[in-house]
Amino acid sequence: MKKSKITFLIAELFLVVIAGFFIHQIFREDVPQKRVAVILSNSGDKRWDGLINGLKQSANVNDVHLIICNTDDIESAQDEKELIDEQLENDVDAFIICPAPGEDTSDMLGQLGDVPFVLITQDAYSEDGASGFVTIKPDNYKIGYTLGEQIRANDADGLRGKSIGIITGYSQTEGSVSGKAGLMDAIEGTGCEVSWEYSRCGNQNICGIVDILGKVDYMVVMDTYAIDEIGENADNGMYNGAQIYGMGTSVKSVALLDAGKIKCLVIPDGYGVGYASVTEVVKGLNSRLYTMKSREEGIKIIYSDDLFSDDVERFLYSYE
Amino acid sequence: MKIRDKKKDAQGKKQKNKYSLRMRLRGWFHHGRFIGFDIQSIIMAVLTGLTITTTVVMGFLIYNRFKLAIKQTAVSNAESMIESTVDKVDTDLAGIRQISNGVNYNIIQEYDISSQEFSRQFSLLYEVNVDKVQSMALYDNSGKLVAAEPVAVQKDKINVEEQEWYKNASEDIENMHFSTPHIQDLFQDGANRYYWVISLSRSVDINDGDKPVNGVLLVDMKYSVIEETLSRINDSSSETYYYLCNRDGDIIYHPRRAEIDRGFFTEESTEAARYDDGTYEIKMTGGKENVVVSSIAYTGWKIVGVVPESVQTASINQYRYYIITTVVILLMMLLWVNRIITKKISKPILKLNESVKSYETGGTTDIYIGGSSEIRHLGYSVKKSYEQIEILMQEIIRQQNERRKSEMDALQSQINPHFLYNTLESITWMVEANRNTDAVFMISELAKLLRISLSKGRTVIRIADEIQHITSYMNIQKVRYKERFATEFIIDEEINDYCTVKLIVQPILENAIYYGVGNMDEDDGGKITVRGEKKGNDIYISVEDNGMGMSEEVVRNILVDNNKVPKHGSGVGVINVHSRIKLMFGSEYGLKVYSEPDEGTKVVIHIPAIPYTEENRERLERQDFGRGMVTDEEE
Repeated sequence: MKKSKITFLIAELFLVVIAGFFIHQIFREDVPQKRVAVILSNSGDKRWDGLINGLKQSANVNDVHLIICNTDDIESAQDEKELIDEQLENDVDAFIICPAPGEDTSDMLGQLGDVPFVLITQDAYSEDGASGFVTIKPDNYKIGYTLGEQIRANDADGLRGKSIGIITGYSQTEGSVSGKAGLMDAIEGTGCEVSWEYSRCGNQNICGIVDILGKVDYMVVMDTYAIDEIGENADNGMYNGAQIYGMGTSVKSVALLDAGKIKCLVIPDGYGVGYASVTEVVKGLNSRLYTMKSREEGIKIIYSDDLFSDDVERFLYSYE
Repeated sequence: MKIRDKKKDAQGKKQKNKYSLRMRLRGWFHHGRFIGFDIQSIIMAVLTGLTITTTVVMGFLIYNRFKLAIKQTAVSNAESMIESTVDKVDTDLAGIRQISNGVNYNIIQEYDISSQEFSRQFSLLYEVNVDKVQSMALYDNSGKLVAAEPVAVQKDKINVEEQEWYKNASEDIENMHFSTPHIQDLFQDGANRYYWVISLSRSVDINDGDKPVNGVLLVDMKYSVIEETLSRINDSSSETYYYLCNRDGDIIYHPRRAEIDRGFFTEESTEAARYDDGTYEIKMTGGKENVVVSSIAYTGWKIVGVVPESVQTASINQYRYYIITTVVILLMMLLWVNRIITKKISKPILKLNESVKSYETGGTTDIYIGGSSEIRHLGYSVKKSYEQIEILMQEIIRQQNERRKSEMDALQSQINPHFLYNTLESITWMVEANRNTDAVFMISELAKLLRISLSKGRTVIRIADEIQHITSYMNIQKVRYKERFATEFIIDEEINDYCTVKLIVQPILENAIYYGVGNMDEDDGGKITVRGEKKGNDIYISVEDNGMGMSEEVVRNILVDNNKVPKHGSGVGVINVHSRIKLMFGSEYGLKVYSEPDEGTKVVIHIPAIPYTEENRERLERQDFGRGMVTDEEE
């Protein structure tokens, strides 16, 4: 065959391939949105409002389909695994997971294999320190430390001889461990005594338990469930004579602060955590070369006096 | 001086480089790197280039036109959407103003605040507008709450005099003041909830018993009223979004407000707020975006519609595929058409070229004539030219043959007088010596020799005649040399009737006598042997003597026409014979000389075996050798 004919046929073939490719593009159905499943303990709870708003807005911006799993309290890795397996059967592309308490959670998450996932609000619990998974969360240590600092700052007489009761979430969670470590570091050397510590275990009546644990001068509540409950039953910023310092993520906790039932509140930026987690997962899904990164979102310290400053109002806007 | 020299050197090098570059370019053209393509490739390349350029430009123009249309549509949609939204928001705000007016003129100014009617009317108005109004409150000039709907307990720590809405109303009593959205923080709420409101405050005159006092009326409009309106239009637009800001650019509603608050997203609301109503194109860091601005009456708020460049991109992506596909298919078809056109144009030219090439390599003059009238004309011209060249070449060949014949005739004429002179000298010598019998024999032999030499002017004779000729010659010579050497003829009779150039053996014999056996004594046994035989299609006639022989150098040069070898008498004849045979039969024929000093010499005449017929003779003499010649085997 003549050279010119071969060149012509190659050119035509090349054009046919290009035309075929673009025709395929024309007739190709809309690429289905990537599906990202969100697993939160008690997903319908108000304390997740800000976080879910962030997740939804980011999903909207990044054009992904968000599946927020309807869950009850997730108390163990097994509970979480069942939810994950269920979503895997639904062909989700990635997960955003609030890790379940317990040592098994790291192993369970490690078995997810190639499915990308991001942990939110706290790292998976590990006695050795960080789990190594991509985590987008507030600095839980800083939350505890900040609460301790605020107690110190607010007590002109000093903390010597004073007693503190600590309430955290599930004991085997990174959030509880880090928060408590931060608090202990903050009050170290002040002469303040930790009278009791309590870690939540299921849906127990926290007020009843605290009543049994005995009176203290300060109560540091680093459990977002407990802060709402205790705050609701408090009076003039005190519960059984103890000033309440705590971490809250719900509008209710802010309203309780506003009503003077909580002395000081530290609010992690749930919206920021939700927004950043979806953005990070989408980056991971869109590019195999991209390595997802952990990050820590900010926190806000709020007292009732500065509750309606522009700065705090803007922060609260995302909770609506 | 040195610097000047260096400059000169640099200039010289520069010129040299320029020159060499020019030469290289010339070389490129000269060696046909650019012009070495055939006409089909050139036409195809030009047409393909034009086709690609045209289709791509056309596609690009269509794409651009469509992109512009999409942009205009998107902007136009945004304008329509904003127009209707402005009306809606305007109506909502006007409604709130009317409520405020209603409270002021129909209730506050009409009734004493302590009267039951006041409370009833105040409450009734709130109930009627509860879908738009979060709360209504009346404060006196000291910031004390006079009335509120819904009835609620004001928060203890609240000091309204410090609040912006109160200060605005107190300071500017003529106007109503809309605030930006904020959390209502006046009243306690048992449900632990917060409400986002837009406050409308105004200064009012309160009838409090006998003494009228100034006060501030606050109507908190539900933010959700504005939010829902703008959310609805944002939800219905995929990429275009709409936001509401006040005249300072403070955002009242934005679909991505939480992101803006956290720095995840930025909005140029301050700049947009400065624009008058209209459509603007703003350069952003991420590209251009079109902004549609429209003001809301009374408040000075602005609804801004933003049409990002990505809107146009997203919409046009699908259309882009259509355009590219169409362009590619068009390109394929045009390439096909180009190829057909190219072949149509170039095929006759290529055929003409091929036929010319074929002629040039020795083929026939069958020049291709076809294609368009111009190519046909060209074909005719080339064909005519080649035919004329053919005729001219034949004429040249004929003239060359004639010239060769003349040369041969001249060579032959070099022999005859020389030999004749020698023979006559011998006869004279015999007559003087009264050897009449010998003289008669000599004259008789000479007569035979001359008869054959003349041969009626023919150049080609039978070999038998040539043998007769050399026999007569040797007889004459033997008389002259007094039988000092012997002669032997071993001639195959079959060669007698083949053609030969006349007088080709005699010069060899003459040399054999002169340089071989002529000077030998009778006792030395000098001998010349002449052999004639046919081998295949060739005839070989050899003359061999046992004389003194020749050195290697002489043998090497004897057939060369130079002066290295001394030539005596008819000695020049050896070269003549060689040349004549080559001229007559071709370069593969001629003489071969073998000699050893003191041993003898053998000269072999090699000629083709061409049967002697009148026709062959004439052909040979016309120098038509090889063209239709019938050789012995073919015969």
